[in-house]
Amino acid sequence: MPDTNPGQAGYAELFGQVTRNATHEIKNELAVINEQSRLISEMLEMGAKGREPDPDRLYQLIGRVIERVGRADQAVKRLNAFAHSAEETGPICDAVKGVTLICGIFARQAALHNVTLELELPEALSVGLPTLDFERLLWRCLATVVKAAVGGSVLRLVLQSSGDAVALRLVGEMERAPDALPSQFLQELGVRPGEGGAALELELPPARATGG
Amino acid sequence: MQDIRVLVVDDDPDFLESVSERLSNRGCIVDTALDGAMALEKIGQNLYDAIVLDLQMPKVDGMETLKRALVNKPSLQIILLTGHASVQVGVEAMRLGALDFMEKPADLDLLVEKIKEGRARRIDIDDQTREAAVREALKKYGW
Repeated sequence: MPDTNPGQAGYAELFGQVTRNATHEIKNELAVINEQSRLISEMLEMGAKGREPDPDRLYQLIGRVIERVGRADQAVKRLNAFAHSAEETGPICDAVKGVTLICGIFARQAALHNVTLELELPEALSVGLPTLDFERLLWRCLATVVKAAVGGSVLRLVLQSSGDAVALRLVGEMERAPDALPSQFLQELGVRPGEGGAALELELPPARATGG
Repeated sequence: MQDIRVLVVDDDPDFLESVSERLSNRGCIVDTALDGAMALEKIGQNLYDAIVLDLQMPKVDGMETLKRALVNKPSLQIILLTGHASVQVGVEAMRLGALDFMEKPADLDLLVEKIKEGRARRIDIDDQTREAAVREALKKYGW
């Protein structure tokens, strides 16, 4: 990628990873919908040849198709919401919305590592970071910690006000210490490492009132 | 089509169930596994004409399952099925010894053709292995 500064390359990387994850998820849902609807079709074809399909089984399969369409729709909505992040260019972002969105998209990646994500979020909280930077930071934190987490475990993401900062903590059972995030990356975002027993702990800049 | 034994491996129970039923409707005897570890256990215990293997799975992924399965049973015929095919992954799978690489949603009739091809190849390889063993024994005893 020529003529891009590290920040731009970071955004491109985030868009690539988010798109890859979301499209994998959508493709998987479509594959299941395809198999189930073709099975229904084959059962009806057999019915036309005299082997009557079980109505309960048909209802069950149709119910599952509807459920998987709903899941695919949620995945598309998440991808669309992420695409709209690029329009939020202000210096602060809605952290609760950002965490919910990024964790929703990352959930499949976590599941492939056999890790379940749980969120512990306040009602509302903003951070003093542009939305895309906050999302980039979150993605990187999750990717780093999930790789080190014990398979079959639960990884809890906790976001809360902490003095004059915002604390982001990832808590879970680790197989090894997660790789440290590059200090240059954290400095670039104005983020400081936190102190505590979490697998990863960061102090994020608070949202400051502007104007006035 | 009779006595074609297939193991279908996928971490999505809905996908596994539908594909299995459709393959059964086409005369295959289908066994299933929800992850790579379970698949390797079943491969160790049973004889299959073909394995239909999802690429992205938790614990042991498709590529790792492919490698480990072929170490123990080199005549296994494995068809990788993935939600997101790329040329790179396809080439890697074939290099590791996969029979083929198909993208989801796959045409099931085409998949059945591949399974039949796998069965023919497995029988051929097993015959060759048996013949080689007999030749070796004859040579050893100077017959």
